[in-house]
Amino acid sequence: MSAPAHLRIDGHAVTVPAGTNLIEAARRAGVTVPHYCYHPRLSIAGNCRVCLVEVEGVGKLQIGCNTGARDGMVVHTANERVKEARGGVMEFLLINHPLDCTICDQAGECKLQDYAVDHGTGVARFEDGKVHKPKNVSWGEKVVFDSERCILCTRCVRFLDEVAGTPQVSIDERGDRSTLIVGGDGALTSPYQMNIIDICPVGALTSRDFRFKSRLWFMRFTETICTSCARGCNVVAGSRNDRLLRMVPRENPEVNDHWMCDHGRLHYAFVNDEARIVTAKAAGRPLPYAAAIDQAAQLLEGARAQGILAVASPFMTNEELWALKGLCDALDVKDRWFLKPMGEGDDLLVHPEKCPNARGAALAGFVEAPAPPPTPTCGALLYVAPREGAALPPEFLAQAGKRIVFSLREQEADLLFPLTTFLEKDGTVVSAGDRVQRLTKGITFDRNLLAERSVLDRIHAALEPGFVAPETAAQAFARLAEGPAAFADLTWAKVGALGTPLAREGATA
Amino acid sequence: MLEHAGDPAQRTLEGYRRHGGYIALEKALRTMQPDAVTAEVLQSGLRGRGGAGFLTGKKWQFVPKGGSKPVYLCINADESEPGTCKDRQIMEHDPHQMIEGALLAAYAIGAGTCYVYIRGEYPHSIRATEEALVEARAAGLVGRDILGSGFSCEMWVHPGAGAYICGEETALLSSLEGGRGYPRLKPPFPAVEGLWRCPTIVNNVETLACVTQILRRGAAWFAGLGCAGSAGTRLFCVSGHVRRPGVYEFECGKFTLRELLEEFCGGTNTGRPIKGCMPGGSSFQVLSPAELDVRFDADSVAKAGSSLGSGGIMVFDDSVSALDVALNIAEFYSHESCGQCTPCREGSDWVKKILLRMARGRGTAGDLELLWDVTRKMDGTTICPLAEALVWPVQSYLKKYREDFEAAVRGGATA
Repeated sequence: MSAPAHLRIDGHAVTVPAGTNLIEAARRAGVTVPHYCYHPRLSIAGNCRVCLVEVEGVGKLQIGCNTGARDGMVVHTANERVKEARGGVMEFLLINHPLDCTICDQAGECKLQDYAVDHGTGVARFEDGKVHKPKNVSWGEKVVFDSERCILCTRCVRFLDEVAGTPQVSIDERGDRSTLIVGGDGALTSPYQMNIIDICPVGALTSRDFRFKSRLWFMRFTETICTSCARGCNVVAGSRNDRLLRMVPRENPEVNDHWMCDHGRLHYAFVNDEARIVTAKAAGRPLPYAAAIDQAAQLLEGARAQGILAVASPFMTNEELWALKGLCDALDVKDRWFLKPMGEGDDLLVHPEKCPNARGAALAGFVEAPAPPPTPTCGALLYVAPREGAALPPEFLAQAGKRIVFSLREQEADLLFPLTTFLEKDGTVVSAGDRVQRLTKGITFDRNLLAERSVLDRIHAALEPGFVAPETAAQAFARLAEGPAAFADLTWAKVGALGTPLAREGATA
Repeated sequence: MLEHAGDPAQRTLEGYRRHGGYIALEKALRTMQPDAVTAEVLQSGLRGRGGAGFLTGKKWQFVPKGGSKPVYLCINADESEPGTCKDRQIMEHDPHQMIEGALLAAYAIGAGTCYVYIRGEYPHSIRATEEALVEARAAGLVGRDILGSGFSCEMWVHPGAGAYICGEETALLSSLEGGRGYPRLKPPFPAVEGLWRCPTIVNNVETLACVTQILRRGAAWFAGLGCAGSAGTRLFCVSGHVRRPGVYEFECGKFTLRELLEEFCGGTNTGRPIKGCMPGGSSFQVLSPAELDVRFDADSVAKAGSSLGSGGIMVFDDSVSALDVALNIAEFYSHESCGQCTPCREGSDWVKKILLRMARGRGTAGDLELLWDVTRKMDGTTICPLAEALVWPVQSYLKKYREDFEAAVRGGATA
C-alpha cells in the first residue's frame, strides 16, 4: 500500500493511497469525473480526453485517468477552464456522430447522451459534411458494430486483449477515418465477447440478441444472479411485460468483477418458453393447485410405510430446499438425493457445475444421487427435476412407484407441479466459493403459477397441522440461520445485493 | 557536420576515417567513463535537433542508473516535418557520423541495442545507413566488444511505413514494437519506460552527428560556436520562394532571419516581397515581414513567438494567400492525425473543412471566430503535440493575416 495522499478535489478533502488515479480519487470525494475510455479493470488509454481536470501548479489540463494522486494536490474538476475544455471535447465527439438516438439501441444508457446533457455546449456549430464509416457490421453471431457511432475509446480492444485473452479487435486507418476491425474472418470468437457491448459507452456495439427488442425506459430491471453455473455472476435482468429480454453483468469484485460469460447472458429462453406448464396436473390433466396439493399429501402419506425417495434440484433456492427438507423430515424420508449437472469450466468465470446451488442442496442434507441410480424400491418419488443438464433416467422413473414431479415442461407423473424460473422468485443460493447470494423476483410468468416453496409448504401443512410456513423469502431464510452453522449469523439484509460468504466452519469446499 | 558531405568517399568507412572518423569513439571507449561522455555533451550545451530543443545531456541523465532492464537507444530518422530534409543529408552523405554519435550515446547511457528508425520514404537514407552499418560491423565498430573495449552495441535499421506521427518519439517506439504508431501517455517518459517498457533514449540524427563533433573536438569548441542557448552549428533547410533553396549549416546568433533569407539565400526567387516565413518547419508559428529582423537563434525566435523547430525554413511571397498556406498545413495534419485522441482526431479535420470552405468562397463571417475557438479547444488537450502543430501555425496565420481570411469570406475563392 502506498503512502496516503491528502488531496483537495473541488474543495472536498479526501485521502487516498498515493498514485490512485484522479477519477477514482474524485469518486471517493463524491465527485464524478466524466470519462469514456477509462475503465477500472482495463489499462489506461487516455484517448477520450473527457476526464481533463486542472491540477494546481501544473500548466496544462491533465487527464484524470492517468494522473496519480500526490500528497497536497489541489484538483478542480468543474471550474470554468475545465468545463470549457470538456465542452470542447464533447463537441468534437459529436461533430461526426450520426446523432441517430431515435433509432439507436443505446439510447437511455448512452454516455454520449448523458454527457452531452451534463457537459455539452448544447449548440451545434458543425456545418460541414460528416465522415461516413461502415454501419451494421457483423462481428459474428453476437455483436453488431456501427463505426459512425464509435468514439474509438478502445475499451472493446482492451477488454478482448487484457481480460478475455482474445485480442481480435484493432483499429484500422487513422485520423477521423479510424475504424475498428476484427481480425481473422471478421467474427469474434471469445466466449466473453458480449461484455464489450456493456462497456461500449455508446451505441457502437449492440447485441444481436437484444437489439430492437425494447426501449430501455419501458423495461424493468432486477438485480439478481445468473443461474447457468455455480459462479453466480451478479446480473441485472431486464424484462418487459413479464418476459426476460436481456441480462447484463452487475459489478461484484468478489464474484464476477464487471463481467459475465456469453452463455450465461444468452441462456434465458427457458424463462420465456410459452410451452412451460403453468398448472398442476394429475395424470396429464390440469388440476387446481388446492386439489393437487391435497392429493400429493395423501399420496405421500400412503407411501410412507413403503418408503419415499426425495430428489432435489440444484436449481432450487436454499429456501425451497429447506421447505423440501422440512417436508421430508415430516415424512421421515430417509433417501434424499440431489442431481448435479456438470460440464466444462474455464479459468475466468465459467464453473464446471452447471447449476447455481449444489452447495445449498448439500447443506440442506441432500446427497448427490448415485450414478447410475440403483433400481428404486420406494413407494413414492418426490422429484424436483433440474431445469436442465441432469435428470433421473426414464427407466428409473418408471419403477419409482407413485411420482410427484416438479418440472418446467410436460413430464409423465402421477402429480405434476410446474417449476418457476430464477427470475420468478426471491431466495438465496450458495455459489462457488461458498458465497450466499440473492435471487430477486423480476417477473410473474403466469399469474396462476404457484412457486415451489408455497407448494411444498402447503403439502407439509396438510401433513402436519401445526406447521406454519414462512411467508417471505426473508422469513424463510431466517429459519436457515437456525439450521447448519454455515448459515448462522446471516440475515437476509446481510446477504444484500452482493452476497456474503458462508461461515467458514460450515463451508462445503 | 556537413564539412565533408560533398566528398562521395565520406559514405565509406575508409573515407570517413580519413577525416578523423571513429577517433572520438575509440578515445571515449578507452579513456572515458560513460558519465564523462554525458558530462561532455551536457557541457557543450547541445540541444536536441528534432524540434523540441531539449538539452541532450540532460535527457540522457534521466535514464535510471543501475536498473535491471536493458537500455535502448533509438535514432529518430523519421524526418517527416514539411520543409525539413536535413537528416537525410547526414544519412546519405555521412552516415558514419551518425553511427559514431549513436555509439557514443549508447556508451553514455549504457544501451546495448540501437534502432535507427528511418522514414520509409527515404530509401536512399535506408540504403546508405545499412551499407555503413555493414562496414562498421565488419570493422568491429558495431556489435560485440567494440574495438576490444568490452562495450557492445548492436544497431538495426527499421524503416517507417509512412506516418508523420512516428516521428513523435513515443509513437516511434510503438511503431518499433510492431504496434500502431500511436503516441503514448506521459508519464512514464521513455527514458524511464520506453521501448518494450525499458529505459529508452530517442535522439535525432543531427543531434547524434553533433555528439560526434563534440567528442571529437571538445565541448568547449562546440559551446564556442553559435550563441547562448544555440550552441554549435545547425542544419537548416530553406525552401519556398527563395532564390537559393537548400540545406545550410549555420552558426546561430550571428545574423537575423532577414539577413539569412536575403544574403545567404538570395531573397525571393520571384523578386516579390516576402510575405511570411516559417522558421522551424510547418509546426510552428509564421513570422510576418516585420518580424524577420529577429536574431536567428533558438531563444530569440522563441521570444518572437515561434521556434527553430526542426530547421525547416519555408518562405512565401506576397502572391500567396495566407488562407491557402493555413489550409495546406491543416490538410497535412488532418491527414496525419493518428486518430487516437478526440480533439486532434475530430478537430484537425474540422479545421481543414472550415478552411477549405473559406478557400472555396463558401465561408461566413462567423468562421473566423469558429476557427479560432476550435483550434483553441485542441490546444493543450491532446496526448501528443500534433494538434498543436496544426493549431499554432493556423492561429498565427489567422492572427497575422486576418485580412486574407476576411477577404475570403467576403467573397472570392482562393483555391
